[in-house]
Amino acid sequence: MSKSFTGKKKNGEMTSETSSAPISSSLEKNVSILKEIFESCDDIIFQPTQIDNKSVCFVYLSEMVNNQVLYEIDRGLSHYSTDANRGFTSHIRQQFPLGTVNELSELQSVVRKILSGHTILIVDELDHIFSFHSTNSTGREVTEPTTESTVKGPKEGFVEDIHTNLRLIRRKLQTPSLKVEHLTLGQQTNTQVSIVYIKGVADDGIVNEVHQRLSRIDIDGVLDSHYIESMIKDSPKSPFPTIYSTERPDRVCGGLLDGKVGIITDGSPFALTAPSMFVEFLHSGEDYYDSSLASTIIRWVRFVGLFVTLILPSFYVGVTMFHQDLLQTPLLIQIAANREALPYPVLIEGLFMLLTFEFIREAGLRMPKVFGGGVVTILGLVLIGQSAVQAGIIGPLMAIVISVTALTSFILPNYEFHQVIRFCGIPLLLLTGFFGFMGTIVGLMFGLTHLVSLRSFGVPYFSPVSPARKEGWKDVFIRAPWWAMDTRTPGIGVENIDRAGKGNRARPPKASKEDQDEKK
Amino acid sequence: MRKSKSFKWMRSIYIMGAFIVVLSLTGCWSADEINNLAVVNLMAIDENEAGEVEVTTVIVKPHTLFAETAISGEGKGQFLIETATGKTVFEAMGNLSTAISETPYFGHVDAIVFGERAARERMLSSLDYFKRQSDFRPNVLLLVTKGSASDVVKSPPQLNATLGLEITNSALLSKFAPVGMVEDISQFREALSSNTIDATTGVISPAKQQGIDVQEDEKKTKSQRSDNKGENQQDIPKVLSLNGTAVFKNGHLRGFLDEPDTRGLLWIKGELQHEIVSLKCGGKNKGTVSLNITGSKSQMSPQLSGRKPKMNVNIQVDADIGQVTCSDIKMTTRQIDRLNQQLEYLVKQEAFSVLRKAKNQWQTDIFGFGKAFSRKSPDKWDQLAPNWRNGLLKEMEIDVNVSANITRFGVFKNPSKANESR
Repeated sequence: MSKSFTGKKKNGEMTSETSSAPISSSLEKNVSILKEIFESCDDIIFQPTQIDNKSVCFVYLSEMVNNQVLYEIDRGLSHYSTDANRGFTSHIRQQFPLGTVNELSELQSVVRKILSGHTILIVDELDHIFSFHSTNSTGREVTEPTTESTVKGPKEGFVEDIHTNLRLIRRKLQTPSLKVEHLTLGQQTNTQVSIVYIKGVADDGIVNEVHQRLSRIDIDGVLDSHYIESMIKDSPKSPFPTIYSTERPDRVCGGLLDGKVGIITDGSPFALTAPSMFVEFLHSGEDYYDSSLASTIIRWVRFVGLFVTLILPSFYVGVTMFHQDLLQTPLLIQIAANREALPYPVLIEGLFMLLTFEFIREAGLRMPKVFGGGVVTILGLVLIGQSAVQAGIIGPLMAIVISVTALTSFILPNYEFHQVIRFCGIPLLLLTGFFGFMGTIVGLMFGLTHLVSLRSFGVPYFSPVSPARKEGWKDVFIRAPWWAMDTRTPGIGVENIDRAGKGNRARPPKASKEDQDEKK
Repeated sequence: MRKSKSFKWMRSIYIMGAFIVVLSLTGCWSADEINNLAVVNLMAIDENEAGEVEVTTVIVKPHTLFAETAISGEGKGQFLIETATGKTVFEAMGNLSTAISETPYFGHVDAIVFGERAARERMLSSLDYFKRQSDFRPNVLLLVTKGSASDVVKSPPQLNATLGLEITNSALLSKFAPVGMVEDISQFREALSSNTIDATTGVISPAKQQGIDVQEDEKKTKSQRSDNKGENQQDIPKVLSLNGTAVFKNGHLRGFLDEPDTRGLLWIKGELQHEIVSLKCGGKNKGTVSLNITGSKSQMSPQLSGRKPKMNVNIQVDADIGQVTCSDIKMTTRQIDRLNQQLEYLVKQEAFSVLRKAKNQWQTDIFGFGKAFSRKSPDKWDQLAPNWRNGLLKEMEIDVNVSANITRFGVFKNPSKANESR
């Protein structure tokens, strides 16, 4: 495995060595070098032709270029004649609209352009090569994000094409302070990665850190933003995500306005924002578009949901195995009646049900849509739960507990976070099964200690709660109305910058002097 | 470099593995599955003729109690009632547990009922057991019954799932009324061990003894009769009621106060909040004015000036009018004043009646006079305390002042009449 990897690496290096050679003015030599580089690439097309006695050659990748653009290039060039008293270069500059044509003088960039779908025009006796922008941009259209749907707010989501994604961000933040820096990652994929931030809002130290961490990446391919995420995140062994990955451009822009740095990867509809705090994973994009009161309540519902997902199964197990004193008498008798003839201890029941739920969930996700994944999931849950209870393997309360847990876990708005919290419930369940509530508490303490010790690009993961930064609490425990959100979340970007004026709150107009006189 | 790193990994995996193995070896050592518990709901403690303790436990049979939701099991009785004897409560419980297939669990005991004889002889020693057993909650109700306690706990619950819940509910409902003198075990223990006050608790007895007629749906009676075939149906009361007070002295039951006396006790303590009192209309009128007592307050002011201690008790009673059956009565201010005076007289009578009984006859300080003295001057109380229950309490003079206040009669002053004009 490692051998083949180094082989690939060498291959890549060799290509870059040959391509860094300067362009010669001989058409044939250039073509032969390119043909050597693109050996056995049957989809590359070399099309030698004559334009008014000048021998030229078009080079392009047939699958990557737009035929319409090719036709337009051809037509634009056909007007050229040597009689007109001007050079080839100036003709092209005049004939083609701004930005569609580049002049290249290095072989390496020529290869890069060909690979990204440009059409190359090699002209004899010229020491530079023209590249026409002809990329066939047939990707997915901008649609509603599938993983983060909201009722209110913008409905557009990122797509795979990085240019579209950058456009979505640029359109929201129309300022020259929005900086976009391109990088290329992956020896074989040559994936374009862009670092996006607002100069003067984002902390320079964090921007540099992102640069540094990205430039450290040495891998053959980057197929999704998660590759990058796992390679640049702090404390890589921690299960908790410390970089937020989102499909929503508005979410990225909100982060940028808070002083975060966005990382956009070509080929992935998920953009990354860093640094990210724990509380962010409990915030939905919709929080900021709904009324303050509604968002605050829903935020608390999510906090409760987080705890329910974590500890409801362990709580039930603890109460039935160790701490019966905590139950009310009628409930105790009820549970005892339900569990009278059950063969397995409640801990085994809980593990069994959790596992069953995971089976059903995974099956529903992976099942081809033709079979109706969602329907099967619901049917499976209902049928298996019901019949397991009727067969006397599972207590009905355990079925309720696991169903509620499964349901509440989906309250968590971020998918990665949802996964982690769901799986954290299992060790807690085991601890409770062995040690009672003592185990639960110890497990939760360990978890909390771990969370508090985490950092995301130097920013404490639990801030602004711990370390306490009270000015940030207006977006943690509540979602303050927008007129009260006059400062940014502390600790992320440049310190002490107001995001809004103080007078945004609507007030009755002050009566002017004339009005008062009239009243008199 | 690489080798040492993988070694580190392996070691952490080994440690994890060892941890899991050790965990599974210990197992869930203090765990008790809920279905392996015999949930004791009520306990009755009696003393039999031979002087041994007789402990009766009422154990819930969950699968018969909630037959609809239970997975299996059909049974006739909803409760398993077992009685065992022993020299002590603990020994009796030990004997009892041999006849119970699951671990007896006392965390949900709602009430402990003492028979009269057990309360007279074994109160202190039994309380020791309940204190040492950590299962018991400190808010278990403590009740005394005249006669045999085991008969009382055998009665079936009527409106709640278990009899324990029924007793708890009725005790809660009648708090601050003459029937709601029920104390929980921690309060009782505190009063019992204090030298400034004597312990009291509520009395429970079959409702029939209180002149309340209990009749049940025909069907239910039949089915119950078939359930309890062979048992002596007569002894088991159908409905229980709380009434009166059991008075303790030096850790033993001293006597019972009936309802008017209990009312007197509550007047003096200023704790009465729900009660109905009927006054005569006066004159030739044969009807009554029924008053609803809405609250009472009392203030004890002890005086230590002379050789003998003296006590002033000021009682304030608030009432409103519940029902008027007098034929011709005008609710004028004078009339209200007259009713106030009548009520004051009644309160004074009842207070003196209970003082005669508890203070003079039994020499028990259930009113908390001692507490008032000890609060006023703790040093002097220390001198008084040794002789408090040996004469000092009896000799103490008590002045009772009552001020009654009938309010909230509103505009609806006069009794309802037939043929009233518009």
